[in-house]
Amino acid sequence: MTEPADWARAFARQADADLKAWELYEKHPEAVAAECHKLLFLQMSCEKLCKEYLINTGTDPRSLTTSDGFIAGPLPVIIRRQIVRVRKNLRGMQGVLSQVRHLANEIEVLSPAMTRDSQRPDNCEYPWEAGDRILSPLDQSFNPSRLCTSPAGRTFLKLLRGAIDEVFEQ
Amino acid sequence: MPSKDEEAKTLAEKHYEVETGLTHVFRITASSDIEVSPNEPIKLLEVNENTVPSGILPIQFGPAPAVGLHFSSIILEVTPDEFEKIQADELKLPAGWVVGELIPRPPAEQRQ
Repeated sequence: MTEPADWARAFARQADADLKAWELYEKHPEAVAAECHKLLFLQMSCEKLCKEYLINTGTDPRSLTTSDGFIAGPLPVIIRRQIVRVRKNLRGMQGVLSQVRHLANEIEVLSPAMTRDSQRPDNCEYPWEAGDRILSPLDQSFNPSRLCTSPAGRTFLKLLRGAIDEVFEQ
Repeated sequence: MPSKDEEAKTLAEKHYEVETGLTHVFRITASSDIEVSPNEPIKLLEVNENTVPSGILPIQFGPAPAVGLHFSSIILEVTPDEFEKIQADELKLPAGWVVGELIPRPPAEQRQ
């Protein structure tokens, strides 16, 4: 009989491994074929971290293993916890958190299942139709790549790493 | 060490400080015999204009005494529309949870 805590731990390990893959690609950009592959790991890491927290708070893990989303809502709350945890002085953090909310939305739609009622078919995994053309993720530039290089985006990545690490400290 | 009520207020005030869209923070309470336990988390219902509608998705955090967070906490963030549905009982909180007192946004001059 599996326990929710076992599921949560497994999701946390996966989130950690996915973010490590992103971090490795940051250090070794030559190792990644295209930007979309790198972003896929960021999206998967964020999703699994959010699901780990949801399982720990009572959500049935089985309802989360085959579902997408769950980033835009929970992730800013998780990142804000990190801000409160690591920053004595919160000055300047309003702008970071505002950017994190935007980033969380953009990271969520990197999943092909999250199309925002067909308004955002762009994703990191599958080609999609745009008018009379087929677009491939391989040829696209995605908002999170640009956002993550801003000062607030770099802070977000540090806080995301901290949030994953905190799971293993508890 | 602060009491659970004091820490709930401090936590809410920090959240107000970093969240421009946060309009209201309420305590959520369970029954009094549960709430007296120090292991029962601080529970905050946060109404945020900048969040996305996602229903009732509470998120629990463990204590971090080294940084002054002595109690576990559960944050339930909702949009203003979702809050109206909670008030109208169209959106249900987890069993036994009741929306409690409002922790008001501190006046600007009190914020650091």
